[in-house]
Amino acid sequence: MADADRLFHTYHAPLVRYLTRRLGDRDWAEEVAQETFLRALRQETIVNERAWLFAVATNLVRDEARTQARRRRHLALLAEEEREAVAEQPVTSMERAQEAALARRAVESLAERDRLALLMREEGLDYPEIAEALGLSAGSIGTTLARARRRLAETYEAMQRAADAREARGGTYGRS
Amino acid sequence: MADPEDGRMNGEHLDEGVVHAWLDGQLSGPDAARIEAHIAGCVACAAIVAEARGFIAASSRILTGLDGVPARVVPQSRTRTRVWQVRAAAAVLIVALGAAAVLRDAGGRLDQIRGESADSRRPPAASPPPAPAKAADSEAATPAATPSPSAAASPAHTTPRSAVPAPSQHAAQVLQHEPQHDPQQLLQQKELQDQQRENKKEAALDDARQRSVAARAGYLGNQNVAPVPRDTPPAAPPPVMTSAFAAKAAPSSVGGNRPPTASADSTVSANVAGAFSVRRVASNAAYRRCAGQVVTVSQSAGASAHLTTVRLDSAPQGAPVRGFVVAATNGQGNLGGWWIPVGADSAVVALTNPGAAAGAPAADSVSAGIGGAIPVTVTRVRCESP
Repeated sequence: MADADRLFHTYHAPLVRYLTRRLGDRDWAEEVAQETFLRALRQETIVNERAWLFAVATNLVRDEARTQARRRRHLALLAEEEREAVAEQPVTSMERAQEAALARRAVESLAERDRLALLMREEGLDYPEIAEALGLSAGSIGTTLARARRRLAETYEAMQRAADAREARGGTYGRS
Repeated sequence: MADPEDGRMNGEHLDEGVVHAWLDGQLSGPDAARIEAHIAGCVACAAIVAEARGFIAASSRILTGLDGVPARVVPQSRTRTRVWQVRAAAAVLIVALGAAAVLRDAGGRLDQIRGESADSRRPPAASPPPAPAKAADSEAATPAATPSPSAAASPAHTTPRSAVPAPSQHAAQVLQHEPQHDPQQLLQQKELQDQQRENKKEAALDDARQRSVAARAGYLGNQNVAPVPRDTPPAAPPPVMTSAFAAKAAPSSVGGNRPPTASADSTVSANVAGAFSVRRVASNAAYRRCAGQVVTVSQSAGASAHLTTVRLDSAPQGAPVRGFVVAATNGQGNLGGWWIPVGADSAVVALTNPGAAAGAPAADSVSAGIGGAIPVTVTRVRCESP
């Protein structure tokens, strides 16, 4: 591709953000984005650049995820350690970390297709682009997003309530 | 958007998917107008719309919470390397202590043993075993030639050292084969050999780790980091990787992207030289915030020769690398990136996010590198005053 500069300028930030939200690791996201751009440079023609890039990035993550199940379990373990480490941080950081952990769990609770559609929409992809990237019909994207948003909000809220309840119980025990 | 979803109704009311499509601005003008008219006269659908607005806002807010993730939470094989290195070091330490104890004991009983030896009147050995120094050398070469963690940490490796004969017997052997050596000299020689063996092991087993350390050291100021010695073979062979992900899983995959603690108020250059197994955009060089927020990234002399010959992981044979990537980040996330074509030996990038609001955090880290490709380039990151 002759316009590698433009492609990179335009899509690098949203693609990395999408992948970071998807993967929970910025370095990993950068790496996948890099691989995606390298593939784009080798591609002769791309009709819809944004849909193509997001589709390739999604597939790269998916391909690796198939063979890296053990690593993902380890990732969860490390994320737990990360949360424990954050406990020594100031309160604001801890709250932020807890919110991030809740958000991560809520997002992970979504079905894969719903999650990807939602993350792509957040990066500004329109319905036809999401449909193209995920191999869905454009007519189903509204329903997919509606379901994803509802479940995400409800799951997050439920988790937050549970966390608040745990915290309240812990406080009571602590005082007794 | 001409779409079957447009205007779809759930009984007499709007389908939730249609409402979201409408709120997302994905419906064509006539469809949107029709929905708007319907909502104006339908309390139930107006409630659906209000709820959908809430879900859209809530999901956006929740997803924003995912942006503050730590970097490098993905497990690296370096962790495993550390574990076995610790084990190997412990094994070496135990062996050294054991040898020291044995030799100390040998020194104390020397006179007694000389007496025993004279009494026994044993004839000299017909075929004396190889000199201890040679044996030690061959042992020391083994880990360098086969830098396998399991081999180095396995009990078999330590057996020749730990299976030291009983003190008096060992001392007798020392007396028989090296009567001219003082026990203290033997002890020193032993320790020296152990130290050499440990050094060789360390050097051969994690070459890339050393490079990473060297790279990080280069970020901390105006210091030129000497190229990593190439006399030891890399732990992982690969001049060509089959995929960036495979490279990430390699023991040398940890890049130097962790922002250094030092900050630069004026001009700072970090020269990172040597052979790197570059596999990620953030492997080569990083730069801490500077006053000007303007950075020049350039390839140092000789790097272009590498870049024109390195083959990307999945590129056709002979295809040249076309450029390298510069990325700027801060604690809030990625601020942007620049693709620098090969041929341009430098690029000036402004470390501000064009889309960011005034007062938004500036970039505190810049990294550059070529992804999925090896070996090595040399990258310089220079921070300049505005």
